[in-house]
Amino acid sequence: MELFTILQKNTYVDSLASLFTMSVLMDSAGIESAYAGMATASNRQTMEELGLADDTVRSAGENDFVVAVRADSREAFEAAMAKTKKDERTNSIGKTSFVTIDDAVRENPRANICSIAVPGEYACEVTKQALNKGLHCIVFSSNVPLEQEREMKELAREKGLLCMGPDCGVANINGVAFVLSSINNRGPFGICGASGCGIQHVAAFLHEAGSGVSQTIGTGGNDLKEQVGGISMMMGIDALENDPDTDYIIVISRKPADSVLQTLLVRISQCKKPVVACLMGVDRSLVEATGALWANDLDGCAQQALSLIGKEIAFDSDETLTQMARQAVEGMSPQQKYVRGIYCGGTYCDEVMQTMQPVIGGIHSNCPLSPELRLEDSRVSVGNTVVDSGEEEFTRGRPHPTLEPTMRLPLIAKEGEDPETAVILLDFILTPPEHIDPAGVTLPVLTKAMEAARARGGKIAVVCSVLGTDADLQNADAQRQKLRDAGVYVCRSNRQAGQLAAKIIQMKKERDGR
Amino acid sequence: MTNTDRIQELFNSELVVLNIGPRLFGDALGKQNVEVVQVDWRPLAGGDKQMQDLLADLGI
Amino acid sequence: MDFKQQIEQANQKAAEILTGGRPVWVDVQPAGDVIPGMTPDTLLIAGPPIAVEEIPGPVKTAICGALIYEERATTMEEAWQLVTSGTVKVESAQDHDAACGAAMATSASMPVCVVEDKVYGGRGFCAVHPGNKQNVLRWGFYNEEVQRDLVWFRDHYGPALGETVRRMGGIDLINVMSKTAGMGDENHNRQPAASMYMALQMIQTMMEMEFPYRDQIVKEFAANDRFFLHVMMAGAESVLASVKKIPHSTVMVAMGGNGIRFGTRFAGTGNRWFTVEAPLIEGLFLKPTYTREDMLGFLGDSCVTEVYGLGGMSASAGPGYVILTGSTFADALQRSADARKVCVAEHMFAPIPWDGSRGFPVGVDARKVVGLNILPTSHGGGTLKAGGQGTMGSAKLPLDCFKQGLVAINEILINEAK
Repeated sequence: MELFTILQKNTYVDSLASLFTMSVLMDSAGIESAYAGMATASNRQTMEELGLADDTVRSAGENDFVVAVRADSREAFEAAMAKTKKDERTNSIGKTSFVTIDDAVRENPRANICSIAVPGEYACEVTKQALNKGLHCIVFSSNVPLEQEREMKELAREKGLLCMGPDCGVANINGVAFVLSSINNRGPFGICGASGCGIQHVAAFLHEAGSGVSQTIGTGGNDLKEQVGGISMMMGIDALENDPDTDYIIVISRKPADSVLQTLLVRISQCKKPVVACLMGVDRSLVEATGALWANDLDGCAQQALSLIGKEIAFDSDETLTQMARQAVEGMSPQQKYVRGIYCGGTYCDEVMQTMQPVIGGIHSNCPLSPELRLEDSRVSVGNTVVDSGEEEFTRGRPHPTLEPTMRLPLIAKEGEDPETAVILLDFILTPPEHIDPAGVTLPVLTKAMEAARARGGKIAVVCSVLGTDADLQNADAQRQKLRDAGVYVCRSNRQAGQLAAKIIQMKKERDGR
Repeated sequence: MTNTDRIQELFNSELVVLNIGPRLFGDALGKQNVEVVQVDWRPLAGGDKQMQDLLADLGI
Repeated sequence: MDFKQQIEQANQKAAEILTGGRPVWVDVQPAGDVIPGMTPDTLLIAGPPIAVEEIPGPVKTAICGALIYEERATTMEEAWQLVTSGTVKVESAQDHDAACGAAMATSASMPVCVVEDKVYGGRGFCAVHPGNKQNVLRWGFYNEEVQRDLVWFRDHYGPALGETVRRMGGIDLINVMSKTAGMGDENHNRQPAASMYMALQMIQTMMEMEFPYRDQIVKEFAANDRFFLHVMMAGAESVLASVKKIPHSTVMVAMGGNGIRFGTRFAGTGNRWFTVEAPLIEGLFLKPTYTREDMLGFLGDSCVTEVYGLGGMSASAGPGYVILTGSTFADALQRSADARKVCVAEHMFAPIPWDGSRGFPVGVDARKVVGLNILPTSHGGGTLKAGGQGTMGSAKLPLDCFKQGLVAINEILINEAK
């Protein structure tokens, strides 16, 4: 192994683009390790720790972009670098970019909203700058201290501007899908939610039923905590109530803090428009006392919403799922016992474990439902396991799996090689910035896993759901079809995927008389 | 209840988006035919803490 | 008033002077007669002040040559002795509102262009450009031919040019650059249009005058397409002379290299230079056999044109030079766009049609360079360790000079507030 480094003086490459480069390098043949990024003090430190620093790296400054690769040979290094060149984003002439919000707004006085994805420690300052320029904000940055989140949101409230997030990945404003949202049809439902995945889930069902959303407002996962006080949620409900294009309001959140819950319930009870409330873990009676329609989970939320316009979602019945499970179990070897889930979405990972646990018992995870089920090593599955591949131990040096679906392929492959694997359980979440064919890039690994299981005298069942719409650039229907054609069980929702997977494991256990 | 006039104004306007941070997200908006203004945000003074403190007093 | 407001106000003033100043070439006079603080024992060289023992070869040659020319010594050794003994003081030209191209050493009897800012009253100085050959003091050579030329400049060429501009009532340099806008000059490393336009006006006057060797002088003058550079360096200095007097300003008022160190000065920090190891000027090697090892670090004051908003700052105005030195049109646009992000003002006397009719960014604010982490570019010619020009290209201005400047201005403000 030999260390190769490249220094591009005075070249700015953003962190996400660096991650993509790094990812391509690490996946290339003959590459042991790689790093790409701006040569900031902390990045140089990381490179030292990884043993990827040489004098070139040490001499680089914070304005320089560095790439360091430990490779078998110069040929391997050059081949890997050539691959990164293919995706290189160039700053085309005539398309100017700015470095400060001030300059950008001065030159573009019509700017009215901004999408902010900067490191968490800077998010508050940047958001306040944008708010002071009169811009509504969608803040994707995470790890923002709660007191700063409150500061940003108080400023937004004072100015009458929307502050969606921090930690907001989903917002659909005027039909435009921001950050990690699906592209949705427009319709009479306004959604305000503290769970991006939840909003996207419900909106996708509305879309599929031929309806749609007026606006979807993400508040960020921490909005309904005591310290933040639900500022964005309240403003979002106010805005949707005053919006003539919104006939119905959907509120989605995990369990809010008690004090915030009180305010929220009062607000819902005063709302002049019909409300569907999916407040996970909140007593049904409390919700129904406000006059809102209650929903237990995301599927239920979509169902309740559609009931307002006389529509219904055709979820698979228990019988259908049982039949599917029975067929899936046929041909499995006695050795195969467990479900192995590799997830992109944190909320979905949670939901699927909640769904399966009552049926098949404790599920091990890197984000378990209870602490004793925590995996010792996130990469070594134990019994029934579902991992969130968006967690830090997997994403270090790589983009999040909802942006780069190839990053979870090695994890899927590993489960496919395990003779104890009975079910591979997956979620696909479509987003505008994502790979144009996540199903397509995943299928070869799935097919290989299924073939390998057959060669071992068994059969692996692959179960999944696809979150997205037919308006998404990837087209959810086409993605589902592609997966079905390859023999994958594609369920109506993530919850249903969990139901099916649990049934398969349960039935298999019964069959083998364990 | 908060005054939501500015939010209603947003709902009734054509969006012009400042994308602050990775271009990937701006490109995704571009694919939806939205007017995007790219801000290649970088930490103040390249993250140099001493300079950040200094600039807090001296302005920029 | 807090620090921020003090600085804003000072920088506003700097912006006014930089864009409002009107440099007019008024005369050619012996350096010792016009440059403030210049004595027969003073030699001016480029860049920040430098210890005698560190002076690189080509500059040392120019210094010794200048002293022999001044008849202060007869041999190089004897001349150097005057410097090491401290009899002759080698000083930084920009500390005298003057500028030295590359390895140049300016001595008292050498004719210098005198440019006056007609609005704010500052005066700037630079030796008459010696022509397009390598065998000149400016590139670190001294021999019989150079000696002959120096005498010729002093006795005939310089005085004739001085008389011409005096008779013309001065030549407005902004006017020259406006007239030649769009002709591809970036006015640091490329200025044929400005030189020709100036010659166009001056030759008419020269032909009406009687002075010895007139034909030879006209011929030599008209043949030098880089003549405008040294006039413009004096022009930049004339305006910067007034900016240098603004306390609290974080605007850059001087920069240059002495081959070993590269330095900058800021309006609010007085005569202090903030230096780093001199970067190389990279781009195109003038001979394919040259390597980086052959090159001295940044040497010369011609980048005062950048301090005044020309050259690399307004690279998009002269993209031909950028392309010639191995970069692209997009790079040229980028250089100007970057400069605009860190400057306090924009010259609007020659809007650039293919760059959105934007002007030349001027007045680099140290706060913005550091805060935004954007480094403006200087164009330049690189000097060989053995003397002569080795490259033409560019260098990014070193970040650390600006960081040091901010620390210093902060100290000054804190002390004043006490």
